[in-house]
Amino acid sequence: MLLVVTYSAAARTGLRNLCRRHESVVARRFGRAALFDETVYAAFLALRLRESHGGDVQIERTEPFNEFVAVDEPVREAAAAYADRSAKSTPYAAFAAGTEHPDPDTMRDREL
Amino acid sequence: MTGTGSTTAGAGREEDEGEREDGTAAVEERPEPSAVLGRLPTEAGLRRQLAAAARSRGRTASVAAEIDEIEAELAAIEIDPVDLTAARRRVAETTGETERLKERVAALRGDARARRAVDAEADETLDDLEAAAAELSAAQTEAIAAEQALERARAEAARNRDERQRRLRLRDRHRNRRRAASRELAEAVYPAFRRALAVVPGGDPSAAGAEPSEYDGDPVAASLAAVRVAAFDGVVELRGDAARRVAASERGARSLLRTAEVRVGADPDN
Repeated sequence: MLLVVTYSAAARTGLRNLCRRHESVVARRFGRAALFDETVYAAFLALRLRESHGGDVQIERTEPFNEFVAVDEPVREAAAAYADRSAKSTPYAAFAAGTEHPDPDTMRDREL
Repeated sequence: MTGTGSTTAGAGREEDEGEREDGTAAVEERPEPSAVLGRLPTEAGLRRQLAAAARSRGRTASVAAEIDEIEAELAAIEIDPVDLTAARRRVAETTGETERLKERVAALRGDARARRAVDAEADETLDDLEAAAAELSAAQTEAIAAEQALERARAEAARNRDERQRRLRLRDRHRNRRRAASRELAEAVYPAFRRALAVVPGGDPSAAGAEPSEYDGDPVAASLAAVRVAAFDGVVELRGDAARRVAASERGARSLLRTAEVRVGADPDN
């Protein structure tokens, strides 16, 4: 999908108007951002907005996230185990220390 | 009917101010009272008119210092333009060229293999293949460089956008505080405004309600009352309905409006 983020009041208003006028291309709307369908028309509308507001409009392309493709099993397991922990106040780094769970810094250094 | 109704329209617009967000409005200086009330009828809503009247009487809002701080912060923000167009285009071009050469290398490889299989002369094809492979390698290097350049430009743009986001938040806060200030100032002079309504032609104190948003009387009378409440040295220019109202009154314009100088401007309706 296309993520459109605005950085000025005028661009935000432009995005809001665009979303109102072209509801069908809008998958999700946030305050000053929106997710558009992955169609050429949606891209065209996003480009038009950027032509009007330049650097105050950011367009990114997102892809669906599949944790079974993107990350290894230990990462998924660690997420589940941490969510299920008994001591709610334990930060993840402490939780993972001395266990099989991946170390946060190691994960930080690895790209998806 | 240029004059009539414009005040009501102005009041309606003022209610929407949170929605109407042109980037420039937020950093605009507080208008001088005479800029709001110096010419009637005015485009400004009642709240803004009363706030201007209050400021002309030396009142300042409790959030005035905060507004000054926000303005100083906004003034200090410098934002470079963000344009990754060239970097993106270069990535697209180099990637396209790489793909084209990959296909060419594959085709030549197949060609050479086929020739060898039938014991045909393959030297020329192999030369072409070698040249294409060298071109591909150069194109790949170029594509990697282009990707890296775009990556750097994106990191730069991300920092730039942090600043833009900060500026947007400040502008939003600025607008909110300005509105709060305007509301506070307008309320401060509301009793005086109500009294002034009893004096100006067409005015009706009972239409005032408890606060500016409740006023449902005549907009021109409201503007005349706001001017009467205000204290500024400049000229007040009256046009259209405002001019006619004051002209029809038994009292003199200066006594009605309590201003040093009143001028009746060219009536846009005639």
